[in-house]
Amino acid sequence: MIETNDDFALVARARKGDDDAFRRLVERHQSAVARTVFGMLGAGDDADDVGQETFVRFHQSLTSFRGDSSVRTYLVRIAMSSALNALRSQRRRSLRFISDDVAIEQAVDPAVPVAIGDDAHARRIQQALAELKPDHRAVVVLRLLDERTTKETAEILRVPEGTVLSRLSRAVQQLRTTLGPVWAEFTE
Amino acid sequence: MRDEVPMQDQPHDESDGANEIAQAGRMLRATMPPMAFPHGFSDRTMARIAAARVQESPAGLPVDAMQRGFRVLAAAAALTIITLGAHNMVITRLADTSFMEAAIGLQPVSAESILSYTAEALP
Repeated sequence: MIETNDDFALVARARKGDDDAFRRLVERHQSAVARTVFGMLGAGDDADDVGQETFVRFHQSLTSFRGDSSVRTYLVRIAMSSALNALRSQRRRSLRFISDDVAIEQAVDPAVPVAIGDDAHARRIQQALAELKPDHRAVVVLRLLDERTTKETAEILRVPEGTVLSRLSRAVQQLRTTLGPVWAEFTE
Repeated sequence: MRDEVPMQDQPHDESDGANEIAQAGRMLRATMPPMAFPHGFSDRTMARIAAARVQESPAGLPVDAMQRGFRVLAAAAALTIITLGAHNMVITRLADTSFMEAAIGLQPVSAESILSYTAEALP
């Protein structure tokens, strides 16, 4: 609660043009934004760019921020929206420039056995996450990676809680199917 | 914010489904790389915010607002031209005069009148 009040005080100062106050908001919430953005996009330049864009958009909307939700939830909502836009752009670019052959070459073969903790193991799981539909991935990132409740996830994505639950269920089924032996090895 | 997920929050009544989701969560959290922006993120962000500010006009009008203003002006000008054109076209048709005469605001004069004035003026 104290942190939330501090956030609102910083927002009030930032509205008046206090850049130091806004910088403190960035430093305080960049890890929450990073979890959302990296979960959705993976590591890379796009993630850093979308992270910055999230705070630029927040800065531009300071006057319209009413404080109905916490600053962190508001920022995660902007981050998720920006990440989904970035995914759409990536998809358009890949459809235009990358052939199916390249995509197949980059894929990791799920039949090749790898050890838990191995980099290849982690890559395979991340790839399975990346293969989820963006809407489903968003639920997995918020609900499982960021460990938010179903209610919070629904509020951030602006969908009913039932939709969060059904998307989560389908996403987990797809992860199990895609990962096959890796899933079994991990859950043994 | 990162509270434990309450039991009633689980997606299925069956424990199998809930276990599966819990396992998926543990697996993802254990295998995801550190999710933090590279060093200097706040500096880069503040620089970008400063750059976005420069794009605003000196008078404090955001570029978007100015563009909207220009668009409204252009639409008003186009509407005026179309209205005048239609008005002059009607005059041209009804008064049997040229479009140019109507456009420059001459009183509509019929061809017969011009011929009679010309005949009177001639010696």
